[in-house]
Amino acid sequence: MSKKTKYWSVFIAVIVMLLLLVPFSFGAKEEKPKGIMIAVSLPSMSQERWLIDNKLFSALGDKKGVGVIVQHANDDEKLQATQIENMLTQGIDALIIAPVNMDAIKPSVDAAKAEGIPVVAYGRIANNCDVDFFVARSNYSVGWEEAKLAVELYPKGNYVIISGDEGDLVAHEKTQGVLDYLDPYVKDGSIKIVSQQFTKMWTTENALRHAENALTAHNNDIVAFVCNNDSTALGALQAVEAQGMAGQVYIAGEDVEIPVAQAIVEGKITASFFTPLTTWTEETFRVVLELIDGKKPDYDSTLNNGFKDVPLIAIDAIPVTKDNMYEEIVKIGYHTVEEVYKNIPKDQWPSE
Amino acid sequence: MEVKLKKDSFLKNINWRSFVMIFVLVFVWIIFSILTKGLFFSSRNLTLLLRQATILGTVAIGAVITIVTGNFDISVGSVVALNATIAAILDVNYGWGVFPIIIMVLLAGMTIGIWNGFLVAKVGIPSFIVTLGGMMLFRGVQLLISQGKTIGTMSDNFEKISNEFLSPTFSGTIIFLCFLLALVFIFLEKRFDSKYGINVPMGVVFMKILGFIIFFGLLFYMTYTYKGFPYPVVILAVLVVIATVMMTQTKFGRHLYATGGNAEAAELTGIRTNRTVLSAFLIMGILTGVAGILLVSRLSAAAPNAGLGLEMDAIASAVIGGTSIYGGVGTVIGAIIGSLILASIDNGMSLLNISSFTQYIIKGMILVSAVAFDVRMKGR
Repeated sequence: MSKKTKYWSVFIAVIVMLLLLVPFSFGAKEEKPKGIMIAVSLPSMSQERWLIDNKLFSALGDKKGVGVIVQHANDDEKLQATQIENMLTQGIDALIIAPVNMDAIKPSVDAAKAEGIPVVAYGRIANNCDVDFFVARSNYSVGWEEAKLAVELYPKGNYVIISGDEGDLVAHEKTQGVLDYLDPYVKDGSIKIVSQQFTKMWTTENALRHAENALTAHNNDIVAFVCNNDSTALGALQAVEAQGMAGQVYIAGEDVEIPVAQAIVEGKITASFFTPLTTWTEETFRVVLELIDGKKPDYDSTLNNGFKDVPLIAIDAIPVTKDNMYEEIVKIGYHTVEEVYKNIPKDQWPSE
Repeated sequence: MEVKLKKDSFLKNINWRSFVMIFVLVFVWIIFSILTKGLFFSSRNLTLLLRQATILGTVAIGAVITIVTGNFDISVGSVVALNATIAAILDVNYGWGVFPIIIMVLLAGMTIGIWNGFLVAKVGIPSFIVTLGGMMLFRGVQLLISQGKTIGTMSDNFEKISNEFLSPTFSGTIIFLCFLLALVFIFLEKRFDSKYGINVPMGVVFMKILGFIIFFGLLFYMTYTYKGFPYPVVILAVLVVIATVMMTQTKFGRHLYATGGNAEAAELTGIRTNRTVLSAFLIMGILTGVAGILLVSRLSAAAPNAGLGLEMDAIASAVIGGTSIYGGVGTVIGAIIGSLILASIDNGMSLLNISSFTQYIIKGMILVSAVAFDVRMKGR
């Protein structure tokens, strides 16, 4: 009998608790959270970059007095869909998405649009759906700025362009930026582009081969290697180092990955270009707030995502050199001092 | 004396393990409801939570069926991804209609199930190895046919499978009819028992009725005050009913348990265990087909890394829900409760904006506790 009583009492406890919850949740529906709430859905946590985005977005929310919730999707499309669904349940006013997978985000964007809230793609476009705005990095500006700095430092001589994978649109956009900036100098004969090669899979190994061949063909008479990203720049560096020319030629990449950051502070690589996350997140936030207010934010151009022409703002890249490494990279937490200045004597490390 | 006997057997018949897990589920729900100030328990969130659990729930049914026969299938994630990719290719590249695609994908799932089952049951390779191979093999095939790319966007009709709802009125009516049906069953059972002189205490009958009132009341609250039943939940519910009936009411079901409980003894009593195991894998194959369709419809695309780790969540669901890893014990309802617990933790933590790191810790602890319970019960 006692066992049965126990069973009963547990059962009744469960019922009572469940019944208690019902009025609880009816109350919740009426009491909508006051103020604006913006949700940010980021693809992963395993890359440090997204953690910085998280921090910057949260800080912007505090600054503007707006609620911000950020979730990371572990590089899992299905998890991202679930997280967005749950954030919509929380009654958010706008959604910022950096999709894990640009082609598998449509149902989530549709769900947000069904709630009538603005959706802004951040860094990566969402394809085939009604996304309101895209805040992108400008690949063209990466190439343009790389060439500009090169011409400032080496106004005359032979240039080598190492492009990324030929099948990747990004490589073409960056290369176009380089070519467009160099065009007047090529025409007046001060600069000669002696080699422009695409690098299969963006690998350091393939880039190294291009750089070696260019050095051999021109008897080391090369002043600049303009590379589409850091892994190709590392290839150029290896070729240059093998010829004992490190530090005497211009090498530039993009992304400020740790090995390149180290080479920059050692003076072996001139610069790596970087889309400043602070500007990027600020612009995104501004666009979102304007959209919430029902305004139409200004845009640079549009990009067709298969559903419509999405208005787009492209954030320009800035050079990161020995001089501003600490300010632009270490201070925002992109890399730590220890990581970047590992090969430099400690007494020469930058201080606050 | 007779009454005393009945009481004992009644207590024995209760699956305490499942009961404990229902309690854990309710506990998790209450905690999250309080922490989210009721948001968790809103009809909208409960509806979406159920939908979030459907893909896992579908393969968890398959996991119970295979584990009950004493076999593991760890190729599930890859197979689901392959099925999803087949559906996406047929839709996007060939423009097939929804029904032909569904039939094709179910056939593909079945074929893979037969392949796995054949290697385990007829060739005699341990299931863990067969499906470990399958995990790589089918992921490879999936990457090959998709060229490692995401294939989308699916046609609108296909997208509807995961994103549409039965209307609230219709859902409400179904729930009411199911409730009446349940009452009729209780009544018939009572009459049947009385007829054969078994005196079931009224308290037990009353308790059953109360249980159904809560269960259906909750469903009614959930669907009627939001958008109704999402299609995937209806699909899962149908699968659960079919699988439960199959496991508990048919000869084949008893063969499954017997094979897993003691294969040699089962063989001696005339059960063709090989065929039973093959069938279990075949059923798993069909279920991966269903899961593939639900997955591709939910994301409106098939991604190269789709379904990664799904097999482990499915096994975890089954084990949390009372399935013994030694075979011979387990229920479909238990596995569904297990997958609901896992999905609830995901959902609640996400509503609270807590990092996914913590989710892994909590899920791991629940899983280990469940197995600890299993081992202790077995030891007695």
